[in-house]
Amino acid sequence: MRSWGLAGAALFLLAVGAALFYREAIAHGFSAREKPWAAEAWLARHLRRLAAGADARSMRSPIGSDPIVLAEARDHFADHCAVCHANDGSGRTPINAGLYPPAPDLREARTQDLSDGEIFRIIENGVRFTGMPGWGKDDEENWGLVLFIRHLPDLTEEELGFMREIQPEDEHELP
Amino acid sequence: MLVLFVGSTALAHEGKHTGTSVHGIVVSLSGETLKVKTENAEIAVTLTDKTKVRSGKDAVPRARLIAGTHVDVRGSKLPGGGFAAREVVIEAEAESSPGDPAEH
Repeated sequence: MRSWGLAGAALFLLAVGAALFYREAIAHGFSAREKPWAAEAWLARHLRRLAAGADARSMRSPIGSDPIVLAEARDHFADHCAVCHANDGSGRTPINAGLYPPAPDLREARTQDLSDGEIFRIIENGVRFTGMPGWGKDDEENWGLVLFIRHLPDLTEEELGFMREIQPEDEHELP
Repeated sequence: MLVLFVGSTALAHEGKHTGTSVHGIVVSLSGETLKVKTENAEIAVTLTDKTKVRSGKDAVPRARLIAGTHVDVRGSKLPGGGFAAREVVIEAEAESSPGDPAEH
């Protein structure tokens, strides 16, 4: 009996919350430029992990650290990814400022703590309900990108300069 | 809590990324190192197993990279000044004969 009461109370609160949210949405709309709530951000990260698939957690990159592979992946990232993620992986781009949910800062633990396989799968398949597209199955390039994403926290000014030759950044346009 | 629906589409890697390129004259080829003289410097270009060499649309052997040959090298800059070649294109109209380095 008591559990029914608690369940009923929880449902009531949920209904009230949904009604309030609906009223706000009707009154003001909802913009992709707003910052997500903490719960939404948590959900987005959780969905990102789910999208990769449980088997991806144990996958490890088959390629070792190689300066040429890293350089090629760096240029690939500049050419294909930096328009949203920024050359340094920070996500500070005009496009990302308007994405909901925004692309995360790839240098931070929330991305770096993903396994190689999870990052690989996110690149390959994208993440539904976000702006992250699935780039398809080119294993060699995708694993190279994983290597580069792991390198992002250690990116040097020289490397950043190389990337800016491919993907220029206008400081005045950065959010 | 609503998430804006954006249907993700699978995009094939649209060909290969372009990277950067250097343009110059072959100085020498030794093993996997191709030295190329550009307007500003002499660059050591690393040829890998995957480096393609072509003249026009035709694949050609690396032996064609002789001193004096005008080339367009596409690939990635390496930290410290080197260059890793994904493709070396011999510029047919400026290809020089052996022992006859052309002025650039």
